[in-house]
Amino acid sequence: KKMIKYILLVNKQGQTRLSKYYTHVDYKLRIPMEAEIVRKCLSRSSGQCSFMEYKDYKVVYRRYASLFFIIACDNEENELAILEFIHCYVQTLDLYFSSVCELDIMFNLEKVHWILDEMVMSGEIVETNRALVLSQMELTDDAIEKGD
Amino acid sequence: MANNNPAKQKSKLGRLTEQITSRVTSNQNNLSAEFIELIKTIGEAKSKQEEDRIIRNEAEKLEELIHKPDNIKKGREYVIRLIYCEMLGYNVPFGYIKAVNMTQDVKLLDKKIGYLASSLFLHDNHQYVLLLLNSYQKDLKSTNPLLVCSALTTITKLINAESIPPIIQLVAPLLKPDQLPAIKKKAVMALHRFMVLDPPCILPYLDLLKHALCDRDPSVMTSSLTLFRFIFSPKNLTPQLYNQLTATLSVKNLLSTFIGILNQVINFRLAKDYNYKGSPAPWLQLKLIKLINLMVKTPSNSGLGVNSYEILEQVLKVNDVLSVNATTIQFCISYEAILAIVSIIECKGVAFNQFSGKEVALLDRCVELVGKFVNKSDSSNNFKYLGIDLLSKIITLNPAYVIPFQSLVLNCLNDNNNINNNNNNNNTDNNNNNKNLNDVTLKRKTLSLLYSMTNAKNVTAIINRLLSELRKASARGGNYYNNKQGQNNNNNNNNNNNKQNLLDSNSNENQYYWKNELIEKILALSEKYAPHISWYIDTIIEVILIGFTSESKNNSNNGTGFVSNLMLLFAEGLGKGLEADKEMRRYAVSKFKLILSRHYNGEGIKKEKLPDIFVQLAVWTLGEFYFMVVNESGTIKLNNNKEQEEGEEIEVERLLIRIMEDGEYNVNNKNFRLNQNFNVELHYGGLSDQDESGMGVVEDEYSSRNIRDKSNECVAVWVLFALIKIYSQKLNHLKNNNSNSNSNTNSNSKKGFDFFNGNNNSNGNNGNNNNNGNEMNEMIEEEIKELIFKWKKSKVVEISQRCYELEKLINSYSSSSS
Repeated sequence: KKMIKYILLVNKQGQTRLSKYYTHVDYKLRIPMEAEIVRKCLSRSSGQCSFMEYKDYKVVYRRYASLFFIIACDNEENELAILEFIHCYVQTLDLYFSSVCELDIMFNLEKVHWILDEMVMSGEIVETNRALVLSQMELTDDAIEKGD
Repeated sequence: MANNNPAKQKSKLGRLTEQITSRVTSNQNNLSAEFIELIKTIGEAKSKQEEDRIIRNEAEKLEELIHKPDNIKKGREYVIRLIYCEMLGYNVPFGYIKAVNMTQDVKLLDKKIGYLASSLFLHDNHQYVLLLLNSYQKDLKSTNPLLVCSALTTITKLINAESIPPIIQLVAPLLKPDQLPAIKKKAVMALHRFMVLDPPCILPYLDLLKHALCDRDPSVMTSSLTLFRFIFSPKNLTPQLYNQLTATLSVKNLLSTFIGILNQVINFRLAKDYNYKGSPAPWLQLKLIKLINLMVKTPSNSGLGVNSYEILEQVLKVNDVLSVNATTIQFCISYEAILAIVSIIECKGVAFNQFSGKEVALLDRCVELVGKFVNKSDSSNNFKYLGIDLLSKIITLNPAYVIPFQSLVLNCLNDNNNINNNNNNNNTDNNNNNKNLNDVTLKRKTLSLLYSMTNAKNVTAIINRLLSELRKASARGGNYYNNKQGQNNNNNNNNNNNKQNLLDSNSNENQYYWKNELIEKILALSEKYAPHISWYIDTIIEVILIGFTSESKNNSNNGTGFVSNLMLLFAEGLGKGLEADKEMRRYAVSKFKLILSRHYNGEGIKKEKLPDIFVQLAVWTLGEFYFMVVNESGTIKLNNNKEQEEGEEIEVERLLIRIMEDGEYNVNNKNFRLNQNFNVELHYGGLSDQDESGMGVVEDEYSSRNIRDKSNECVAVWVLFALIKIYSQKLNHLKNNNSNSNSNTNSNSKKGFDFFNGNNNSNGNNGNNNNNGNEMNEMIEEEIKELIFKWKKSKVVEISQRCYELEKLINSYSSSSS
């Protein structure tokens, strides 16, 4: 099936800051599920594996300050690769927002989505070259500014 | 490929960041005060309820505002606010059409936001996705590459199979070599999505796919690998389609292309900005390794595996984990490469002593590297996890490879975590260590290792370990009683705890998957390595008792497969001669009797309900074989006398009646059916409920009663038939004894009156009857016949009453005739 099922950014209070589902999950189930996953992440210590079995797939997570970056992936996937991809994505956000913080993400939700759309399509990691992603975003921002 | 000047690359990134930062801060000035207020209050919300309240207000406000003809800029913002509402848990379907309509607007920003919102709100089966087709058709032809990219991104998410034909014709031109890489890369992914939904649609475009693979732009090439992964994954394509594709795309050429690309990548031939933490395009390396692995797994291709050894060896060298500076990503790539090597060698299907020298050398190297994974003195368990995974795969090639890792395995076997728990020092280091060892993820992985190491010698120890794990998993959740209690506790609380219930059921669902996995593993190992039939029976019963107390409806499908196998085994025998079969049945009967006696013995102790499937199995087995067993040996003794209860031994017939009256059990009718002769028919595929030939589901006559009654009656039916079998066998035995014919050890119903087939087998039986017992005989026969023909119209309590009386009759008959 799909390599990546969904990507979430949830803070440690359980509030969702970004959610992108590549396989359809019923709306009513999303919020409780997101909160449950964060609770599980919180209950784990830093030395434990950064991934866990969840239902019949896996959840990989990484914590940056108050935010959990969570990617749910198929059992066949390389967990460490997904973990490192999270870091690659965070680095990209960091470059784009110049030291990204939770508020940046909240005030620029659509941009955060567009950056992710450059890197993951159809649940597959397609682009990890940060310079390319940023130059594409720059083109977009340019065009939007001019068009306005 | 691209230019390699490092200085230029660095400043490109730096320049980009500066420009972007200045723009981002100015963006905030473009937001309305309302929006800023919304985000602030969400950010400052102290509790889930407060957040919910804010979002609900927002959604209600938006519902009013959304359709008013306001300026376009406002509309854009409303849609983003709608995205917030949905993300935070408030469904806003009234806004979907606004999002879709925005894709028809003129400005780029509006379209982009419309596309984004549509892809977040909708799914590929939603009714609105058809409305987007117009936008796609316009935007795919646009001269603005950003617009084309936006459309392609949304298409990849929301396209459905029916809409492919018009769209694919517009996407194909975007794959032409002279298009921009940014567009090509997304077009390739759209093509991938089309292929997933409707594999044959790719056939006219294979040339374009080949060009994409050989594209100079690495991103385009990377995207194309996704399609190849789909093609070579098993079961994605029908064999005909696969053959059609491989006729045009030669497998051998593809493999050498992939190897060639991988070679270039690990030799740093890509532009520097594809590097990540010093490794060149690591995810691309992983994709290629996985693809090579996949291709070789296809049976027709397994001969090609040899070609890959060299490149994989190279990969391991370049990403040497034994070096001091090895990065996480290098571990990651090595992991994948070792997996590939092991899997390629495994695909050859030869025994270890026939491996080539090269293969043995490779494997030795792999084991050495695995040691590093497992022993990495790091604060994280991630590497250990991967190392154990690799070990469990390598062991299948040669069990001897586990020898250097004995202590690790023993730890897993003895669940040493428990021992460490007792040393709860205040020392934080120790606490962290304890917590690290209590890592559930790691534990499960080590159990997989145990599974792959199992052989005839250690199977008992390993099964015990797995069973104790199953016990723990059942206690934690996925258990009927836990579930019920949880719900009762939360019933008195308000909304917030309603979410709690949902969470609990989520956890139970989690446990359910883990339990299932354990059960599958235990059953597989038991079947393969069981040292003795009685051990096998014990294990199966243990699994049922521990693992099937949940009433989740999925379980009924799960339980029956191996239970019906067991029933078949009892019925058909082991194929090792009569003695062995008798022994097996004897053991089974005594085991069931023991467990049922224990269950119905203790007064006042609320025992946990026995699993339904167990009761069904026990009832059937007792009905079939109890009399046969008891008749031979006179009494039932287990081999192991220690297990004999000192308390009151309940007669099997009594036990059965107690079960009938108990009324707690449901019957699984998917794989077993009682046919006209009151014999069980096993149906492996599962029967539909409409099957009229069986009697397990008695539909029409009881349609006015509720389901619980129905199933209760179904259990009663099974018990009744078991009892009838026992009674009739007893009766026939007594009759034969009285008639002074040869005392036979195995009285079967053919010799006596066959109740189920009417008078077919009379054979002058009546003439055999001794005059003395004649009346008793006939009375009992009549009683049994009454039961058989009238049970459908009787209630359970009547049936059980009849059975009691019948029993008394038979007992008095047997005592009078002895």
